Formats: sequence, structure tokens, C-alpha cells
Amino acid sequence: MNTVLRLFVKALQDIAQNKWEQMFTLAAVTLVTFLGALLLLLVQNVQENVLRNKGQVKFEVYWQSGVEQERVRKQWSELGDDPAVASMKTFKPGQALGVLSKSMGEDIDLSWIDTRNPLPYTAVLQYEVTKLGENRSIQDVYGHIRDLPGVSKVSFNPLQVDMAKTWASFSRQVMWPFIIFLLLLVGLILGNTFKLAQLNRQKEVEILRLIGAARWYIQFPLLVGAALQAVVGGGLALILLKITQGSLNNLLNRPPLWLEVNFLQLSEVACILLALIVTALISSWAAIRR
Amino acid sequence: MLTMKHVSYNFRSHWALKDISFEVEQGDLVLITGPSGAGKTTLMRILHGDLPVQRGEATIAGFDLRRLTASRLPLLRRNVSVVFQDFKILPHRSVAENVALPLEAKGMKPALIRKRVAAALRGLNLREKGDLKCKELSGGEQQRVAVARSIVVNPQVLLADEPTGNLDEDLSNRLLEVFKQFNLHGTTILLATHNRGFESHLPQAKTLQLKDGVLIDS
Repeated sequence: MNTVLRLFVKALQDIAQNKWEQMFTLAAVTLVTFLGALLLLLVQNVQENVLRNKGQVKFEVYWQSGVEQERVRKQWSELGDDPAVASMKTFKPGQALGVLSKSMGEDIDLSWIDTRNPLPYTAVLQYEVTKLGENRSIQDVYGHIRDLPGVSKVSFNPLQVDMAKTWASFSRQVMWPFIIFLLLLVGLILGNTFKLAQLNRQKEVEILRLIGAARWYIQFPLLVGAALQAVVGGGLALILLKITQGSLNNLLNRPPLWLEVNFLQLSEVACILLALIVTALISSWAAIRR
Repeated sequence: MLTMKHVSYNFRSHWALKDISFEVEQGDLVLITGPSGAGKTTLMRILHGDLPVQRGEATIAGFDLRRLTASRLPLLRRNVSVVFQDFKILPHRSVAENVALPLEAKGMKPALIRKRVAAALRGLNLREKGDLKCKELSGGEQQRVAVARSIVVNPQVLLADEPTGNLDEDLSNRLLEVFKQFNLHGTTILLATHNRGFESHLPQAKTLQLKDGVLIDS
């Protein structure tokens, strides 16, 4: 245990002793990781925005006149719990009258027909096609809503369904393979960076071998150093990415674009750091294994 | 201590060593002489485990070099030290750090390392230079650091491959004196050199003469 701790300290001392080389490697790791993560962020946000606009289907649901309020409320709650529902707007008859009145202009007052309001309970539901799952289609959703007790009419645009399906398919077949290809490219560049950094220490490794140092004694500090660089470089890259995401969101999430730019999810951040560490360890080990 | 029987080594159809056989007893001082390309370095590399034994048998300090595995190689090198012509020290580390390297690799305690390093530096007149970076030293001093590093582990055998190759005559003679002293303390030393003048400086040494990979004299 003492030896392991001493070797860990040695790894830190090695970093301090080769300051400039370590700094350049760290800078390269940070920038390449930042670029890769930025591409991932952009592609993900483009996909989200496109699917939000093109990958959704809108259903307008009208209930029968005189249906019980409690029943409708329950049905609204059930519909809203569906994970594929991106947004839901509901209107009680009074609210629907208000919307109608507004749409007819400020001069028109329809409050006189309050007590004899003919307008039904109404709901407008936006479904995300990609979240329906493999066993459900838009037709299934339509059928389910239409069959709800008390529902009088359900309307939607079939052309919108085709468009949503096309965008979802495009996303699956083009976007994600593109992302994977980019990430592989980033991984290759990072792997080479770490490998080159270790190759620069070949002389030291050779001398340690010649004086009788065991393989693990030589490799452990170098691998620890590489892992530390991966963590620090990855951390710096993610900080840079957060700043960039904030700036882009401020720039784009305003009229007339209203394009939200969201940061990566925590699981994605963890995956990036883990992938960096694994890449650092594997490529460093490959450089020094002989 | 050291036995070579009918050892040959081939580098891509060129025979660097041909049927070499000799024995070295514990405490011997052996000069391996010969011109450049005679096979001296190949011989040293085989004895240090850097090259495999392709043909024949070789044992050194109790290690059978034909059966040497990767896991046993560090053990061999802790018992058989090497001094190279190009020193092979870490220039950005201090003299003391360089000398301490093999002791740290052995897992020795820091206090004991400090004691052994101090003794080695004293023995080679490097005590005042312990904190200097090796790149700040002269060639002769750097070579002494390499020698100090090789003897600090009390090896059973010390191999020196052209240790005076980069030194002037005066420094060379001083280094030979150091080797003589170590040998007097019981360390078996094999010294490879193309300089036949060493024989006069080391009269107690046995001489093995190599030419074109063949042992002429033993």
C-alpha cells in the first residue's frame, strides 16, 4: 500500500517535472475534447429542435356536450401521463368560449351565452413520434383517443405524421451514425495524443527497465498521470462547453429564432469523462507496454 | 558466477557472436577487448537480458538466461548492473535522484535509500553535487553518477560497456581506478573496451579478446 501511495506521489512529481510537455498535452486533450463535446451538443440540440418542430403530431380532441367534468378530468390526466406527449393544452367550455371570443376581436362579447355554452371540453395534444415506442404507432394513439368514452371527435393532419416519421428516421439513420463517427474520430485523436505523450518518455522508461524496475513500477505512475490528465482536461473542456452553451443559448433563444440550446445530460457528461479516462489508459499502456 | 557455453547470436544473417565459451569466477575483473563490431556490446546485452540466448547456454549470478522470463528480468537487473558509454541517466533529475532510482524500484525505505545514496556519492566524490541536476554536470561527472547508480544496489556483477568512451584519458584512468576499488571489495566486473591500453592499468584483470564475433583469447 505504501509503495502504491509512493508511486501515486511519483506520478504527481513526474507531472511537475515535465511541466511544459504536460501542459501541451493537457491543452491538446482539453481542446479536442471540447470540440468533440461541442459537436455532440450542437448535433443533439439541432436534432431536438428539428424533432420538436417537425417530429410531432398534433391531435385536437373534442368531447361530447354534457359529458361529466370529473370523467373528462380523469381522461385528461391519463392522456397527460403518456411519455410520448410533448405538450398538452386543455380547455373547459368556459375557457373555450373565452378563446373564441378573443379570436373574434375585442368588440365581441360572448358572455351572454355562458349559461347555454355549446362549446365542448377540448384538448390539443402534441405527440413526439420518436417516443411512441416500437409497439405503438400514431394510428394506435388516434384509435385510443377516439375510443375514450365521451370523446366525440379527434382530428389530426396525416401529412404531419409522414413528416414526423421521416424526420425520426433521418435522425436514426444519419444523425446518430454521424455522431458516432465524430466521436470515434475524436477518440482516435485523443488516443494518439496520449500515446505521443508517453512516447516522449521512452528514454525514462528505458532507463527504469535497465536498472531493474518492475513493469508495474514503471507503468503505474505513467498511467496514473495519463488518467489525471484525462480528468483535468475533460473537466476544463466541459467548463468551456458550459460557457459556450450559455452564450449560444443567450444568442439563439430569443425572437425570432427561439432556439433552445441545452447542455448535455449528466449521464453524457459522465460518459465523456469515462471515455477520456479509458482512452488515456489504453493508449498510454499501448505506448509503454514493451 | 558467469558461464557462457557455445553462445552464438545472429542479427539478420550476420553472426555477431560465434560459439563463445568462457567462465568468470566471483570477484574476477575481466576485460573484454576488441575493435568496433567485434561483438562486445552484443555479449553485454545478452548478459544483461536485453537480447535472448539464441544458441548455447549462459548463466549469470544464478540466472539461466535461456529460461529468463519477463517477470524475472527485473530481478536479474537488480543483481547485474550496467554502466553504458552514453551514461543513460535522467538529465532533468538531480544526482541523488538518479542514484536512488534502483533502490526506489526495489521498494527500499526512504531513510535507507538516503543512507545508501550518500555512501555511493561519497565513494565517487559526488557528495557536494547531490542536489545538482545531471544536465549541469560534466561528462566525467555524469559517468560517475551512472557508476554510482550501478553500484548503489551492491550488485553481484557489474557490466561496463565502453564506460570511458566519452571521457578523456585522465577521467578514464580515474574511472578505472574506481572499478579497481569495487573489484577489490568483491564485485565481479566485466569491462568491454576497444582500448587495449587498459590492460596495463588493470594488471589483475583477465582479458577476453573478441574479433568478428569470435573469442581469440580466453
